[in-house]
Amino acid sequence: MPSLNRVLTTADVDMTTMLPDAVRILDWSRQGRLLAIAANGSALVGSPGCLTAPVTPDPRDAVWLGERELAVVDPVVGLITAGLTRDRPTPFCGARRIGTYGGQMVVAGDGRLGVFGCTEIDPAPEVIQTGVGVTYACIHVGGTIWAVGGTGGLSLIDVALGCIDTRLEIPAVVAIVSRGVAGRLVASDLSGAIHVLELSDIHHGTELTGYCDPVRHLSMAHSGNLVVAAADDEITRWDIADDGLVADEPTSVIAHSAIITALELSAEGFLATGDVEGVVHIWSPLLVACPVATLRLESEVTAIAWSHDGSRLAIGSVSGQLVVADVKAGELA
Amino acid sequence: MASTGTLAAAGLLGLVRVGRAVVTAPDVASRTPGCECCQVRLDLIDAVRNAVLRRTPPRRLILVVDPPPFALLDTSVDHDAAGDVVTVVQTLQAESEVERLAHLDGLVVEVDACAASTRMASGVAGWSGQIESALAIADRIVVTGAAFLTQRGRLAVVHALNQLNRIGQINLPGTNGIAVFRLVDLDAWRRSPSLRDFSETRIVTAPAWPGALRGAAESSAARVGTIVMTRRCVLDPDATNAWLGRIIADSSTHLLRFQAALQVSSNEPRVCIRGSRSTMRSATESIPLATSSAKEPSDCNSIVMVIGRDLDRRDFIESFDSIEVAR
Repeated sequence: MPSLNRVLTTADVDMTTMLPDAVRILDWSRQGRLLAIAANGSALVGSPGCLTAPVTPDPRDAVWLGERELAVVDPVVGLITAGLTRDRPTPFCGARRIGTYGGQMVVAGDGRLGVFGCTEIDPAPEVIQTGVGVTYACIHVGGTIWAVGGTGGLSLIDVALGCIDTRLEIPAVVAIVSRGVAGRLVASDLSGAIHVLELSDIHHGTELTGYCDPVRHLSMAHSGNLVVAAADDEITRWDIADDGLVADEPTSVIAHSAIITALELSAEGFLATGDVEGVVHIWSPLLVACPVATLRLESEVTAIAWSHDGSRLAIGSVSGQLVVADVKAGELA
Repeated sequence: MASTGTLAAAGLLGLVRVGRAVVTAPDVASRTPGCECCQVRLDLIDAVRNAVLRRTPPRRLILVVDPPPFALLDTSVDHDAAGDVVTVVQTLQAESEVERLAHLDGLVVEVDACAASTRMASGVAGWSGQIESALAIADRIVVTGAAFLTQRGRLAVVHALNQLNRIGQINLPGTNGIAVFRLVDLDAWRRSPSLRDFSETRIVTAPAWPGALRGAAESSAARVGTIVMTRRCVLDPDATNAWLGRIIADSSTHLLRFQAALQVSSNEPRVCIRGSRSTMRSATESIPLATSSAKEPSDCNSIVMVIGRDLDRRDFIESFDSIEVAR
């Protein structure tokens, strides 16, 4: 539980730079190196002075593989890596999501999951059929299990066994968040419902409704006991007990004066939200009614990412503006 | 961000690639499992988002929809939504994420005059159900290759299209092609409908589309209908809302295009409503969005246009007339 002094928080802008196109993807390495990829495929790696030429025409997702290697996926081109021995793209049809865990890199494409090594790219990886059609979300949920969501529903894939572990008929999954430590998975679908699923009893989850449109912006606290969803200009926070029991009603707050376009919880429990007007609010876990810090970008916020230790916040906008802020918990007056 | 205009087009207009082009495979899902009228194209949501969220967003998006091949004898409604223009239209209006980034400007459908004329002359069925639906709700129909037809053949094709489409313009481009302003910036889906849009004088007298070989009692054009209704009063907002809800509940499967300008307050602008199938969006009428109605003589306070398949015209009119008047 965070201490009370986190109510007073400062967010000092440490770096501002411009990318050649809208910032589409942000990711931090374990040691705090920033990767920012623009919509035209240009990548900022580590610092503003290291901006690459476009690596792919339509980047959809990217991850650090270590501190000096990274991977980007593109639905047409496939998997593009930098810093490894392989300097050519690895074709993988429909590649939209990528993740790493335990020395493995997983690429989710059209109805398939490719399992690669993190240090050496096998041009013919192990491919597992996911049965969910076009993939829109993919996340590691614990052990050798990955969750893949797409047009045809949600599948839990065991990459060690190379097969589907469980399959759920959920109408077109648009977003997934998971915390393996809590054994919990949360997925939102096209109908506007959010499904809270316990991995120990995946077929008997809780459905959270009341959203008019699909919830595309979801985040889960690292403890797994809080899920935050953004719909229009409103944030809803759902508390989840250790046994998986979800609160009857969420805590809701009209968080912005415009539509929320990005949202992310930090390891420390701070929530960052951004909207179409470029306003970024930071919310303390102890003060849900009003933000504790606010930043303003010049255009719509397209991506938000907290560093692993929760001390730095990267924000990207549609104009290409990239801002990195140091977030510090303040002292009580 | 300024809204980006969107133009959905069935068929290929001989477009030269300008700027970015994206090819997507149709990815259809339903917001309500098993519900055909709630189907949307997920690939388009993704594509529109990625195309518009750029530092220099395109001023226009042109969505080219490849229609399914001709169904030679069966003109019933196709259930494959992959190449269905109405599903595309529904996606652009139903998804709030897409609606935020772009708006549907107009629907342009291309018809190959030679193919259409040959099929008419041989008496086979006109178009597949999906193409028929697209033609019925099109704002512009471009008849290519009309120069190769005789005058009689041209008139027959135009007549058949006029039977099907009561709202759009039929263009027969000459050797120089067609002026771009006839196809873009139509703002046809956001403005309020006007009685002027439904002039019967455009219908050319020519032999009707032959339906003999299908053995159907009506021609294919007769199964898709356009209903226009007007009321000269201020409608009760709650009763009007309930009426719209009933339309979605009862007719969404058959509803191809719905547009209305409803007077539900005596001292506020009309409410413009547009949609298709199970989706309806509303906005307050404003002069830039409703130039035609602003100039229109005050012959009605509320106007509703419904285009659909197998609609019960009398039921629609009676239910609209029964909406209570505001007190």
